[in-house]
Amino acid sequence: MIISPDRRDFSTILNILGSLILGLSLFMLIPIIVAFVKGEQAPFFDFLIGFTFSAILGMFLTLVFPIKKEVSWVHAFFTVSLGWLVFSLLGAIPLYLSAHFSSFVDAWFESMSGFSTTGLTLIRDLDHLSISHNMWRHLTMFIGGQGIILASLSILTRARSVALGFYVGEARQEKILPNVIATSRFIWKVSFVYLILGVVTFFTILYNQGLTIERSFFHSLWLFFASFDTGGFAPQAQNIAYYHSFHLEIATIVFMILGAINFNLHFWLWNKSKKEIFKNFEIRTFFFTICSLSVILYFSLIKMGPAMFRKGFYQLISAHTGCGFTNLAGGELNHFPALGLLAIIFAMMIGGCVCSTTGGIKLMRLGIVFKSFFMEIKRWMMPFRAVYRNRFHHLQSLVLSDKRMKEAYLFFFIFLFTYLAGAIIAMGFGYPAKEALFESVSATANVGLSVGITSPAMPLVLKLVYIFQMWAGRLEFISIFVSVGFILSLFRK
Amino acid sequence: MRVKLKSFIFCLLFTTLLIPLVYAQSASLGDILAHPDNFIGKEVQIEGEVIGEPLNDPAGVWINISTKEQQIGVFVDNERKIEEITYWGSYSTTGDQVRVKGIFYKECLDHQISDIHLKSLELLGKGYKNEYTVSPGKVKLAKILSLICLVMALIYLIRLKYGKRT
Repeated sequence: MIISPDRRDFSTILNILGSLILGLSLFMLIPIIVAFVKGEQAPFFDFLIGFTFSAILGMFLTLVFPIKKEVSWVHAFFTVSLGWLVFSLLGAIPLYLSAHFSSFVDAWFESMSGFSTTGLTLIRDLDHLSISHNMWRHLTMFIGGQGIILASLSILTRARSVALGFYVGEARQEKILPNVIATSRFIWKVSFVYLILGVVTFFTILYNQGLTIERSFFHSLWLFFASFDTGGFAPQAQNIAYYHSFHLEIATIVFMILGAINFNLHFWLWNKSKKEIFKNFEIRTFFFTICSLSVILYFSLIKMGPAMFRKGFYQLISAHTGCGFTNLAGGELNHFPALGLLAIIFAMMIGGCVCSTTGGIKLMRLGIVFKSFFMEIKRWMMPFRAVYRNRFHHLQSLVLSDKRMKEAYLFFFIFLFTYLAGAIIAMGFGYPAKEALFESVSATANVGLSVGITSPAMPLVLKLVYIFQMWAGRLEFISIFVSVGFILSLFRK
Repeated sequence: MRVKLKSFIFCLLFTTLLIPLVYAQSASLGDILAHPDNFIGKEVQIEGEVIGEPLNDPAGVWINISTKEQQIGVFVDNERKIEEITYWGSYSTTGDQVRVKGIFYKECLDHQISDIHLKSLELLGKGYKNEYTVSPGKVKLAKILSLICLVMALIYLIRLKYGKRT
C-alpha cells in the first residue's frame, strides 16, 4: 500500500528543508569572509545577497511550516531530492551575480555541477574570477561530496531518528558506524585529516612552482576540494594543464584515488586491518578495470610515444575516479582515437567505490554483475542438484545473494539507460554519437571531462538535461523515484 | 625583354613560395588546437593575454597565454625573453597582450604535452589594474535583504526560545 501524502507531509518536508537551507547559508559565510578580507567589494555583495536570501528562505520555511508528522523515510527521500535542487538554485545566486555567466541557467548548471561533484563548467573568463567566487565554486564540491544533507544534519540535526533515510537518500549504501550521525562525523573527520595532508602537499608543489604564498594556499585548498571530492573544478581555465607540473599531476592522482575509495575502507584501514586493501572486492575490481582499460588505452595511443602516459593515463584515472581533472589543452580529447575515447567512456561509466564521492555504476555493482555472470556459468557446469554459493570479500566475507545481485543489476541498467538517453537527446541536437555519449556519461557519472559539447553556446534544453543527469546521477535515482512516486500518489486520491 | 620578364616572374614566384618559410604561420589558437596535426613542428604565431604568473621548470619557465576561447602553455627557455611582461591576468589585473612566436608541439618530447616553445615575444599592449564598481541596485538589494534577514532572525530566535512553551 502506498501512503498518500497530505498537507501535513508537505509541512514536515518544508520544515526540514528550511533547516537544511539554513545550514547551507552558513557555508556561504566562508566566501563572504574571504571577499571581506581580500577587499573584493562586488563579490562581497554577491555573497551577501546569496546568504541573506538563503537564510530568509530557510527561516521562513521553518517558521511557517511546522513539523506535523513523525519524519519518515519517504519524507527524508523527498527532502533530499528537493533539497539538492534548491541548494543548487540558491548556490547559483552569487555565481550569477558575478557576471561570469551568460544566464541564470548557466550559473545553476555550474552550481549543480559543483554540488554533484561533476566539474562540467559553463563559466566565461575563469582566469579573471574573484577569489571568493572561486572559493564558493570549490566549496560546493566539498559540501556536495561530503553529503550536503548530512553536513547540515551533523551540525544542526533534529531529525536524527530518520538520519539513515537522509544518508541512503544521498546515495550512500553503507553505514560505517552504528549511528548515522557518528558515521557522518567520521566521514568529515577523515576528510579534514586528508584536507591538511592535501593542502600541505599541494602547497609545497605550487610554491616551488612559483606561485605566491597566498595563491599557493588558495589553489592548494581548491585543488584538494576538487581532487578528494572528485569534483574536477580548477581555478584556472586550463584546469591542471595550467600548472605544467608533473609532481602536481601525481599528487592529484593520489588524492583522486583516495576520494574514490569507500569511506568504510578508509575506516577499516585506519582503525582495523591494513591488509583489507589487498583483499577488498572493490579494490580488486578497481585494479582489474584500471589495468584492462590501461591496456586498451596503451594500444590506442601507442603512436603518441611517451606522451601517452601523461596524456592518456591521467585522463583515465581522472575518468575512473569521477574527478574530471585534465592536463590536456582545450578540445584535445576530441583528437583521441575512438578506442582510447571509448576506454575513457567505460572508465567514467564505472566510477569508483560505493560510499565514496564518485558517481557512476560503481565498482561494487560492476564486480557483482561480473561475478554473478561467471557464477551462472559455473552453475550450468555443475551437477543439477548441486548447491553453489559464491562469496566475496568486502570488509568481511559476504554471500553473493539474489538481493545483492538484483540491486546491482537494477542500478547497472538504470545508469546505462540514463547514459544512452542523454546521448540520444544530444544527438537530437545534431551532435555526433561518440561525443554525445561521452558528454552524457560524464554528466550522469559526475565526472566532468568534456569533449567540447558543454559550453555556454549549447542548447538550453541540453543544459537542463545535463543538470537533471548530474542531479539524478549524484543521488543515484532512488530518492528521485520515491519523490516522483510521492507526488504521483497525490493524484491517486 | 622577355628574359627579364621571365626572371622577374620567377623571382616573384620564388619570393611568394619563401614567405611561409620565413614568417611564422599566423593562425588562431583555436585553429591550432582544432587541427594540431597541421602545425606539428611548425613555427606558429598567436596573440593573447598572459595569465597568472610565470611557472618554474627545471629548464626554463612556463607562461600561459589566453585568447578569448582557448589557452595554451608556452615554454620559455630563457627568462630574459619575457622580461617585458609586467601585468599577469587575474581577478585584479588584466594581463599584457602579447604576440608569441614559437614552435608548436602536439606531443612535446620534453614535456609530453601540447605546447609552444617560445622563439620571440612581442608586447602588443600593456595590461592594467582592474577597477570594479558595485552597481547601486546590488547594494540596495543587499541592504534590504539584510534588514529582512535580521528581523526574521529575531523572530526565529524568539520562536526557538519560547516557541515550544506556548
